[in-house]
Amino acid sequence: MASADQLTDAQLVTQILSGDQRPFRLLVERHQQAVFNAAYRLMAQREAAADVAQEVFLKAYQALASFQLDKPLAPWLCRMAINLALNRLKQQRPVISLDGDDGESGLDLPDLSAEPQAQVLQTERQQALRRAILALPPEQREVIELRHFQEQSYEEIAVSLNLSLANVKSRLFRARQNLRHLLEKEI
Amino acid sequence: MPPLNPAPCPGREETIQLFLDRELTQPERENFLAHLESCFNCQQRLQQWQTLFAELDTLKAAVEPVDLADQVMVRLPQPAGASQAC
Repeated sequence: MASADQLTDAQLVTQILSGDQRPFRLLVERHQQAVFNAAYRLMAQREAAADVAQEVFLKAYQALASFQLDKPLAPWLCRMAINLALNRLKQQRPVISLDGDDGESGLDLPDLSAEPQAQVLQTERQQALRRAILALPPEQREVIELRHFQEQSYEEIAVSLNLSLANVKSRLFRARQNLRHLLEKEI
Repeated sequence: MPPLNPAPCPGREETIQLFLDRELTQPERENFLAHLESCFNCQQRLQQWQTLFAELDTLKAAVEPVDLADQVMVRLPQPAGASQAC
């Protein structure tokens, strides 16, 4: 008989839906890092990202009955993490204008000095890159996350965000240009 | 990070990114590669974007460990019929 570790996500979901909560712990342990990482790349605070990650699993648990078992679980969970993280960001801060109506650039590098030193984000370059991503407006962080970290194609991004392909391209290219400009400031 | 100089050929900035994203059609890809053979500016710009994309890849691989299972399991709704704690 296969141990729980050897069961697929779909098999674990089936067990959970039949009334056994215990396999859900295994699903959490399998996917928590990817879910947390997706939230953390979008949010400046580790604790906020961990909160979002927890919420993802709680919402996923409630929605398991509607999940299509022939699809992979990870993209579904990560998409939920991105949506929740962006919703939290919208609640927390005013929209920054990139048009610079006041004559200043709307993109500022966030101060991460209050964050505990990440154990693995060791290189200065990685920290600079993280700061630059966090300085992007949320909708630009989102396309960077979907393209570079979730590895979605333009078409998949268009479906995820309900945008035209042309809009996906322009948003992504603008995000990358801004990322470059922000990184130049760090030197 | 050095600024984006020199500028690529007109209209090529987008093509370079489409190329790196593997979003060009086969004829477009061949056309671009043929152009790249003789265009130093576009080669330079391609290299700059490749560097940024590679750095983003390293960020993907960087992991800050997290352990949420206990906290999540405690917050799950109780299954129907579960006895209440005294």
